[in-house]
Order: sequence, then structure tokens, then C-alpha cells
Amino acid sequence: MTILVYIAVLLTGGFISARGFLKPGGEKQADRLLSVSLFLLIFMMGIKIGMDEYVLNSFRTIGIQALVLVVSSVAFSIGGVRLVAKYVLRWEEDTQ
Amino acid sequence: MTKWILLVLVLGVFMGIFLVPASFIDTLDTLISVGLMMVLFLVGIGVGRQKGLFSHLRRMGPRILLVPLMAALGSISGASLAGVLILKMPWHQAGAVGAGFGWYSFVGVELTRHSAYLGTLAFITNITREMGSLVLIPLVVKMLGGLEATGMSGASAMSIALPVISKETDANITIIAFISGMTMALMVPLVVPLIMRLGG
Repeated sequence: MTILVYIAVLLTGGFISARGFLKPGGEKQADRLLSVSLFLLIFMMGIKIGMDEYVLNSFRTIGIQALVLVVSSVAFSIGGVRLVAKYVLRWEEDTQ
Repeated sequence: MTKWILLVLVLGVFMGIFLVPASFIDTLDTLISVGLMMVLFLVGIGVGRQKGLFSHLRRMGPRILLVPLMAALGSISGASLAGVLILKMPWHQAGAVGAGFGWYSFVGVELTRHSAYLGTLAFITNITREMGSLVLIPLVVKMLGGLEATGMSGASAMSIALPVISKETDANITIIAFISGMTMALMVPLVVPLIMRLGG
């Protein structure tokens, strides 16, 4: 259900903008509102973290876990793109 | 920007420790949900105004979308594997963290809805990815190539990493980086809840 709501909200925003329903200057306001919303969300996330004693006591462990996850996910991302670049896109370049 | 985000986060943590009563947690969850919708709506507005995007896509061919798709698949599977094999975490939690693709603000907040621990892990993992990418782009471009640097940057390839990619590569890779970053950013709100649902 959450995913469907997310898709609907994204599409609604895209539709409004692509169809030119925004007033002149609306795009700038949307950018500003996006920044404000982001900061408010991060602030609320911070509050939730601060209210959770278990998380506060686990920052060292979280840092190590984060490092393992980021190295592995980036390495596999690069590997995946390398496969495409080497075996699919190069073929396309050669045929152009 | 990153500096301010970290500052606001720390401020929030201090508020949570010292000022906000425990009874506020339900209201906080509702506010976070509303905020997430707001952000997604505004991101949709940003995507909708990229009018030249589809003509670029048509010119380069749909195969170019394999770049973000493989980068996304790699990110999720890499995080899941490391989570299960090294960290002894459930695959879906590690995979969902990997599915943030560097969009730390969204994935951090989204996973905080499940648990504050997972949200914090997702935030730190993905902010590390974004900052690490910025530093490593020149090296990866030199050693492996521009497309690989684009995959490494994840969703940041359309925003903060784009100027660096543009400086280190050419116009074609820059357009691919923008399309790739945007595709990955659009995937985050769909894939993260999906993975959590599949595992949970």
C-alpha cells in the first residue's frame, strides 16, 4: 500500500509540473519547499534517534556496519555497471 | 549542504534526548509520514520539468537504462550479501539499506519508520556513499571509466556528484549520469518498502 501511495504522489507531482500547471516562479518555490521539508524530516529523524537509547549506545557498531555495507554495495554497483559497459554498451558503440 | 544536514540531525538528536517526551513518538511518526509524502511530491515536480530528458533517452537508446538498473541490482545484492555473510543481518534489512543508492535523507527517514537503529544505519551508510563517491569519482573514472563512476555515485549522480562527473568525463557520460541518477532516485521510494515487505 505504501509503495502505491508513493508512486501516486510522485506521479502527481510529475504530472503537475510536466503539464505546466505551476504558476511562474512556482518551480523556485518548490525547490525552496523541498529543502525546508528535507531539513524538517532530518530534524524529526534526529529526534527519533535521540529518543532511542539502544541506538545511542550502538553508534560505534553502526559505524562499522555502515562501512561494510557501503563498501560492498558500491563494489557490486561498479561491478554491475562494468558488465553492462563491457558486454552491452561497447557492442552498441561498435555498431554505431 | 551536507554540513547543514548533519547539524540539523545532531540538533534533532539532542532534542530527542533532552526535550521531547516519549509520548510524542506517535505524533512524530505521523509527521514523518506526511513529510515523506511532501518530499516525494516535490521530487516529482522536479522530474516533471526535465523536458529534454526523453529526447536524450530516445537518442541514446533504452539500453542506457541498464546502467542504473545494474548499479541498483549490484547495490542491493552487495549490501544483502555483506549483511548476511559478514554482519549476520536479515537480508532484507541490509538490502533495503543498500537500496538507498546514496539518497540518505529519504532512506534514513523511511527505515526509521521500521526501527531507529535501521534508519540510523541507512543514513550513515548512504551519506558515506555520497561523500565517498565525491572523493573517489576522479580515481574511478581514471581506473575503470565514467560509467562505473556513475554507478558508484548512485542517486547522487543527478545532483551533488554531477558537476564532478561532468568535469572528469565528457558530455555523453554527463547526460547518462543525470539519467542514471534520476532513475535510481525514482527507484528508492519504490524498492526500499518493497524489499522490507518481501523480507518481513
